[in-house]
Amino acid sequence: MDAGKPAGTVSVSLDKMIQPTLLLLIYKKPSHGYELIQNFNALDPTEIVEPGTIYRNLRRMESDGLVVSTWETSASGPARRQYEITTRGSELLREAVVRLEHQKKQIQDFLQLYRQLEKEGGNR
Amino acid sequence: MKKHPGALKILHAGALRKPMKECIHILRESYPDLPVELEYAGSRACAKAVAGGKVVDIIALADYKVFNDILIPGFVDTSFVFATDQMVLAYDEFSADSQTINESNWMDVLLNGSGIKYARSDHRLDPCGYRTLMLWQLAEEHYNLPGLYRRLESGWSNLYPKSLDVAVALLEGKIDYGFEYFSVTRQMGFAYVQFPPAINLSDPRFADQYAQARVVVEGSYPGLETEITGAPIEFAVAIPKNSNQKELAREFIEILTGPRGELVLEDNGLIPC
Repeated sequence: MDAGKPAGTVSVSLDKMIQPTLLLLIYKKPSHGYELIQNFNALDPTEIVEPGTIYRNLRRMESDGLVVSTWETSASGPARRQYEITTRGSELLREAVVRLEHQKKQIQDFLQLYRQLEKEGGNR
Repeated sequence: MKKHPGALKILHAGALRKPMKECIHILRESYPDLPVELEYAGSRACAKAVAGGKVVDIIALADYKVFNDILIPGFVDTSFVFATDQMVLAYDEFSADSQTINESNWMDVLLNGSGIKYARSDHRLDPCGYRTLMLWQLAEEHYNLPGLYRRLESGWSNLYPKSLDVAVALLEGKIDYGFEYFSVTRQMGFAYVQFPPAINLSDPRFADQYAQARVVVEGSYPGLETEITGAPIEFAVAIPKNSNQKELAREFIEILTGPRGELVLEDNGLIPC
């Protein structure tokens, strides 16, 4: 959770997409932090998120009950902490999607109105 | 150190000295009288000691690959990654040119021919040593400065067995600059030059790029060489097969990798993962 935000909500403002994005990636496939860092940036190459920020968010999400971690041992490499989404995490991901849909509509309306005004007014 | 037959024996990378001690204090909340034998060395030196017959209950190293190269499967089944870090250039207020060095000119400052002393740890004994060599290789490409690696490698003044020794040398004023882990730098309160993620070995997004850097070290057997490929820094811990205190060792690792251990690691400049 973001500092100062009540527990049990997920921020969906476009500049605070870290936790919803991590939830989505973990919902897609249980993953460890190393893998999530690589895939997180593939999702949005313009946003630079430090590895430490990802790991800290994962730990916070686990303490908030949104994900749960277990040690996953690979055939050749070391064991790493692998994260799975919980029922609570899935619920909050759905809530985040609803909020994002709302924001998407707000942005679309904003853009539509601006373009309309621009067309009508020219150099107003 | 006085030996105790029932002691929990921990062997660890020098860079982990402070966090390991702090986690022992947490373990002793449950076992106030528990004797603990805590030893440290460069990670490759630690692993070779265990492979050579040294009996310990926990081994914590600065690179999981050292487990794979030397200890798995003969002496350890699995290692557990618990923290990450990054390479920095540490210095203090008494270091020559400390007022002018920065992220752009560090190589010029080190190589300016005025007798500045900079050090690294020994790549044959310590991951921080081969990570320094990898950093230099990556820097040569990143800054497009042909010959930089060779000049840095032929210009260092001091070589130490482990990263902690580099920090102590800096503290004592024996060197001006040391290639070091951020965690150790922070624990010692040094100033530092931060390198870009593309070369500081901290970021999995640059794993393919890091893998372009390679260092050859002596392998598990005399005369056998091992090529180590660059990768994001990952510290790992394991319980050797011949541990006499497996249950207690598991409790310690649960502390190290649990919420309280994570706070200890964060406070010491590591990133728990």
